[in-house]
Amino acid sequence: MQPKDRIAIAICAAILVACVVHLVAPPSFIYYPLERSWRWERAESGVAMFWYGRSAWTLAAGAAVFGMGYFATGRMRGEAPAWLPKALALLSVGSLVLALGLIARHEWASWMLR
Amino acid sequence: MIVFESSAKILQFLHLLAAVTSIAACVHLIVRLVRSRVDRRIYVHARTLLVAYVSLYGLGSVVYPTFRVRVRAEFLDRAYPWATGLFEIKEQAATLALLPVIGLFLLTRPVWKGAERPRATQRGHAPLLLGLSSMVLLVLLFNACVGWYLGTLGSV
Repeated sequence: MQPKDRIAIAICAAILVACVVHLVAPPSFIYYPLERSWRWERAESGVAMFWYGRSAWTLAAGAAVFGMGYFATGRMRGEAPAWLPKALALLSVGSLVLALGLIARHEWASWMLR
Repeated sequence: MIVFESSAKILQFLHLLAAVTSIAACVHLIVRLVRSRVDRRIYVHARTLLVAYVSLYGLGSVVYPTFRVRVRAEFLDRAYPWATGLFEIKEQAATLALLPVIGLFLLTRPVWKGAERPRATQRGHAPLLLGLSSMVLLVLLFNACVGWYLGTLGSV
Protein backbone atom coordinates (compact mmCIF):
# COMPACT_ATOMS: atom_id res chain seq x y z
CA MET A 1 0.00 0.00 0.00
CA GLN A 2 1.23 3.52 -0.84
CA PRO A 3 2.47 5.69 2.08
CA LYS A 4 -0.22 8.33 1.36
CA ASP A 5 -2.97 5.69 1.55
CA ARG A 6 -1.54 4.49 4.86
CA ILE A 7 -1.44 8.06 6.19
CA ALA A 8 -5.04 8.65 5.02
CA ILE A 9 -6.31 5.50 6.76
CA ALA A 10 -4.32 6.25 9.93
CA ILE A 11 -5.46 9.89 10.15
CA CYS A 12 -9.12 8.92 9.68
CA ALA A 13 -8.88 6.28 12.40
CA ALA A 14 -7.13 8.83 14.64
CA ILE A 15 -9.89 11.43 14.09
CA LEU A 16 -12.61 8.86 14.79
CA VAL A 17 -11.00 7.62 18.03
CA ALA A 18 -10.10 11.16 19.16
CA CYS A 19 -13.75 12.22 18.73
CA VAL A 20 -14.94 9.24 20.82
CA VAL A 21 -12.36 9.88 23.57
CA HIS A 22 -13.24 13.59 23.63
CA LEU A 23 -16.93 12.81 24.06
CA VAL A 24 -16.28 10.16 26.74
CA ALA A 25 -14.05 12.67 28.64
CA PRO A 26 -12.16 10.26 30.95
CA PRO A 27 -10.92 11.52 34.35
CA SER A 28 -7.77 13.60 34.02
CA PHE A 29 -5.68 16.37 35.54
CA ILE A 30 -7.72 19.49 36.27
CA TYR A 31 -6.00 22.87 36.51
CA TYR A 32 -6.99 25.33 39.24
CA PRO A 33 -5.80 28.74 37.97
CA LEU A 34 -6.28 30.65 41.25
CA GLU A 35 -4.23 28.08 43.20
CA ARG A 36 -1.93 27.38 40.24
CA SER A 37 -2.19 23.67 40.97
CA TRP A 38 -3.13 20.45 39.15
CA ARG A 39 -5.31 17.71 40.61
CA TRP A 40 -6.37 14.32 39.25
CA GLU A 41 -10.18 14.41 39.56
CA ARG A 42 -13.30 13.08 37.91
CA ALA A 43 -15.16 16.41 37.83
CA GLU A 44 -14.15 20.04 38.21
CA SER A 45 -15.30 22.14 41.15
CA GLY A 46 -15.12 25.92 41.54
CA VAL A 47 -12.90 27.87 39.16
CA ALA A 48 -11.27 24.89 37.45
CA MET A 49 -10.11 23.97 33.96
CA PHE A 50 -10.85 20.50 32.66
CA TRP A 51 -10.00 21.46 29.08
CA TYR A 52 -6.23 20.86 29.32
CA GLY A 53 -6.61 17.29 30.59
CA ARG A 54 -9.45 16.49 28.21
CA SER A 55 -7.53 17.86 25.22
CA ALA A 56 -4.42 15.91 26.27
CA TRP A 57 -6.45 12.68 26.32
CA THR A 58 -7.99 13.47 22.93
CA LEU A 59 -4.68 14.31 21.24
CA ALA A 60 -2.78 11.44 22.89
CA ALA A 61 -5.45 8.95 21.76
CA GLY A 62 -5.34 10.39 18.23
CA ALA A 63 -1.53 10.19 18.11
CA ALA A 64 -1.49 6.61 19.42
CA VAL A 65 -4.11 5.42 16.94
CA PHE A 66 -2.34 7.23 14.08
CA GLY A 67 0.92 5.44 14.92
CA MET A 68 -0.74 2.05 15.25
CA GLY A 69 -2.79 2.57 12.07
CA TYR A 70 0.23 3.62 10.04
CA PHE A 71 2.33 0.64 11.07
CA ALA A 72 -0.57 -1.84 10.84
CA THR A 73 -1.34 -0.81 7.23
CA GLY A 74 2.35 -1.30 6.34
CA ARG A 75 1.73 -5.05 6.25
CA MET A 76 -1.06 -4.74 3.68
CA ARG A 77 -0.15 -5.68 0.13
CA GLY A 78 -1.51 -4.31 -3.15
CA GLU A 79 -3.19 -1.04 -4.13
CA ALA A 80 -5.88 0.63 -2.06
CA PRO A 81 -9.40 0.15 -3.46
CA ALA A 82 -10.85 3.00 -5.55
CA TRP A 83 -13.67 3.71 -3.10
CA LEU A 84 -11.27 4.22 -0.19
CA PRO A 85 -10.68 8.03 -0.51
CA LYS A 86 -14.42 8.81 -0.51
CA ALA A 87 -15.13 6.38 2.33
CA LEU A 88 -12.34 7.89 4.44
CA ALA A 89 -13.58 11.41 3.73
CA LEU A 90 -17.11 10.43 4.75
CA LEU A 91 -15.91 8.70 7.92
CA SER A 92 -13.64 11.47 9.17
CA VAL A 93 -15.93 14.39 8.30
CA GLY A 94 -18.94 12.47 9.63
CA SER A 95 -17.27 11.76 12.97
CA LEU A 96 -16.19 15.41 13.31
CA VAL A 97 -19.69 16.72 12.49
CA LEU A 98 -21.30 14.26 14.91
CA ALA A 99 -18.86 15.05 17.72
CA LEU A 100 -19.27 18.82 17.28
CA GLY A 101 -23.05 18.43 17.14
CA LEU A 102 -23.10 16.44 20.39
CA ILE A 103 -20.80 18.99 22.06
CA ALA A 104 -23.08 21.85 20.94
CA ARG A 105 -26.16 19.99 22.23
CA HIS A 106 -24.48 19.36 25.60
CA GLU A 107 -23.38 22.98 26.00
CA TRP A 108 -26.82 24.19 24.92
CA ALA A 109 -28.39 22.18 27.72
CA SER A 110 -25.69 23.11 30.25
CA TRP A 111 -25.35 26.85 29.69
CA MET A 112 -27.67 28.33 27.11
CA LEU A 113 -30.98 27.40 28.73
CA ARG A 114 -30.07 29.01 32.09
CA MET B 1 -1.58 35.98 40.51
CA ILE B 2 -2.72 34.00 37.50
CA VAL B 3 -0.12 32.49 35.21
CA PHE B 4 0.71 34.78 32.20
CA GLU B 5 -1.82 37.40 33.37
CA SER B 6 0.67 40.26 33.01
CA SER B 7 1.25 39.46 29.31
CA ALA B 8 -2.31 38.35 28.51
CA LYS B 9 -3.11 41.31 26.23
CA ILE B 10 -0.11 40.89 23.94
CA LEU B 11 -0.66 37.11 23.85
CA GLN B 12 -4.33 37.73 22.97
CA PHE B 13 -3.24 39.98 20.09
CA LEU B 14 -0.81 37.33 18.81
CA HIS B 15 -3.67 34.81 19.12
CA LEU B 16 -5.73 37.07 16.84
CA LEU B 17 -2.89 37.30 14.28
CA ALA B 18 -2.52 33.51 14.28
CA ALA B 19 -6.28 33.15 13.73
CA VAL B 20 -6.22 35.51 10.72
CA THR B 21 -3.23 33.62 9.25
CA SER B 22 -4.92 30.25 9.82
CA ILE B 23 -8.12 31.37 8.07
CA ALA B 24 -6.16 32.84 5.14
CA ALA B 25 -4.05 29.67 4.75
CA CYS B 26 -7.13 27.43 4.93
CA VAL B 27 -9.04 29.47 2.33
CA HIS B 28 -6.01 29.40 0.01
CA LEU B 29 -5.68 25.64 0.54
CA ILE B 30 -9.33 25.02 -0.37
CA VAL B 31 -9.12 27.27 -3.46
CA ARG B 32 -5.99 25.43 -4.66
CA LEU B 33 -7.61 22.03 -4.03
CA VAL B 34 -10.71 23.02 -6.02
CA ARG B 35 -8.73 24.54 -8.92
CA SER B 36 -6.00 21.92 -9.26
CA ARG B 37 -5.49 18.69 -7.40
CA VAL B 38 -1.81 18.46 -8.27
CA ASP B 39 -0.14 21.69 -7.22
CA ARG B 40 2.94 22.00 -5.03
CA ARG B 41 1.57 25.20 -3.48
CA ILE B 42 -1.08 23.05 -1.78
CA TYR B 43 1.67 21.80 0.50
CA VAL B 44 2.87 25.36 1.18
CA HIS B 45 -0.64 26.35 2.33
CA ALA B 46 -1.05 23.17 4.41
CA ARG B 47 2.30 23.81 6.09
CA THR B 48 1.40 27.45 6.75
CA LEU B 49 -1.93 26.31 8.18
CA LEU B 50 -0.16 23.84 10.48
CA VAL B 51 2.30 26.43 11.83
CA ALA B 52 -0.41 29.11 12.25
CA TYR B 53 -2.93 26.72 13.83
CA VAL B 54 -0.43 25.23 16.30
CA SER B 55 0.57 28.80 17.27
CA LEU B 56 -3.10 29.76 17.57
CA TYR B 57 -3.82 26.73 19.75
CA GLY B 58 -0.74 27.23 21.92
CA LEU B 59 -1.39 30.94 22.47
CA GLY B 60 -5.04 30.24 23.29
CA SER B 61 -3.93 27.64 25.87
CA VAL B 62 -1.59 30.15 27.48
CA VAL B 63 -4.18 32.98 27.67
CA TYR B 64 -6.96 30.67 28.83
CA PRO B 65 -6.28 30.76 32.64
CA THR B 66 -6.56 34.56 32.67
CA PHE B 67 -9.75 34.42 30.60
CA ARG B 68 -11.14 31.64 32.81
CA VAL B 69 -10.79 33.74 35.98
CA ARG B 70 -11.06 37.39 34.92
CA VAL B 71 -13.70 37.10 32.22
CA ARG B 72 -15.55 33.82 32.52
CA ALA B 73 -15.75 33.25 36.29
CA GLU B 74 -16.06 36.92 37.29
CA PHE B 75 -18.40 38.05 34.52
CA LEU B 76 -19.73 35.66 31.84
CA ASP B 77 -20.89 32.78 34.08
CA ARG B 78 -23.10 35.19 36.07
CA ALA B 79 -24.28 37.70 33.47
CA TYR B 80 -24.15 35.76 30.16
CA PRO B 81 -24.19 31.98 30.74
CA TRP B 82 -25.04 31.38 27.05
CA ALA B 83 -21.76 33.13 26.14
CA THR B 84 -19.93 30.62 28.37
CA GLY B 85 -21.68 27.86 26.41
CA LEU B 86 -20.46 29.37 23.14
CA PHE B 87 -16.92 29.55 24.52
CA GLU B 88 -17.06 25.90 25.64
CA ILE B 89 -18.03 24.85 22.10
CA LYS B 90 -15.21 27.03 20.69
CA GLU B 91 -12.46 25.54 22.85
CA GLN B 92 -13.54 21.93 22.25
CA ALA B 93 -13.91 22.47 18.50
CA ALA B 94 -10.36 23.91 18.49
CA THR B 95 -8.98 20.67 19.96
CA LEU B 96 -10.91 18.46 17.54
CA ALA B 97 -9.74 20.53 14.54
CA LEU B 98 -6.05 20.06 15.42
CA LEU B 99 -5.92 16.47 14.12
CA PRO B 100 -7.34 17.33 10.66
CA VAL B 101 -4.79 20.17 10.40
CA ILE B 102 -1.95 17.71 11.08
CA GLY B 103 -3.57 15.24 8.66
CA LEU B 104 -3.72 17.87 5.89
CA PHE B 105 -0.02 18.59 6.38
CA LEU B 106 0.95 14.90 6.22
CA LEU B 107 -1.29 14.11 3.24
CA THR B 108 -0.06 17.01 1.11
CA ARG B 109 3.64 16.52 1.90
CA PRO B 110 5.55 15.73 -1.32
CA VAL B 111 7.18 12.30 -1.44
CA TRP B 112 10.82 12.11 -2.54
CA LYS B 113 11.67 9.11 -4.70
CA GLY B 114 15.46 8.83 -4.84
CA ALA B 115 16.96 11.71 -6.83
CA GLU B 116 13.65 12.55 -8.54
CA ARG B 117 11.81 15.78 -7.86
CA PRO B 118 9.12 15.35 -5.22
CA ARG B 119 5.79 14.47 -6.75
CA ALA B 120 2.55 15.98 -5.59
CA THR B 121 0.73 12.86 -4.50
CA GLN B 122 -2.49 14.36 -3.21
CA ARG B 123 -4.42 13.46 -6.38
CA GLY B 124 -6.13 10.32 -5.03
CA HIS B 125 -7.18 11.81 -1.72
CA ALA B 126 -8.90 14.95 -2.97
CA PRO B 127 -12.27 14.14 -1.27
CA LEU B 128 -10.52 13.62 2.08
CA LEU B 129 -8.41 16.77 1.70
CA LEU B 130 -11.44 18.85 0.73
CA GLY B 131 -13.56 17.39 3.53
CA LEU B 132 -10.93 17.96 6.22
CA SER B 133 -10.01 21.45 5.02
CA SER B 134 -13.70 22.44 4.88
CA MET B 135 -14.23 21.23 8.44
CA VAL B 136 -11.16 23.13 9.63
CA LEU B 137 -12.37 26.30 7.88
CA LEU B 138 -15.84 25.98 9.44
CA VAL B 139 -14.31 25.58 12.91
CA LEU B 140 -11.93 28.52 12.32
CA LEU B 141 -14.76 30.79 11.14
CA PHE B 142 -17.05 29.77 14.02
CA ASN B 143 -14.26 30.27 16.55
CA ALA B 144 -13.28 33.64 15.06
CA CYS B 145 -16.90 34.87 15.22
CA VAL B 146 -17.36 33.60 18.81
CA GLY B 147 -13.97 34.98 19.87
CA TRP B 148 -14.75 38.39 18.40
CA TYR B 149 -18.23 38.47 19.93
CA LEU B 150 -17.00 37.41 23.38
CA GLY B 151 -14.39 40.15 23.10
CA THR B 152 -17.19 42.71 22.78
CA LEU B 153 -18.70 41.42 26.06
CA GLY B 154 -15.46 41.27 28.02
CA SER B 155 -11.80 40.51 27.42
CA VAL B 156 -8.57 39.75 29.30
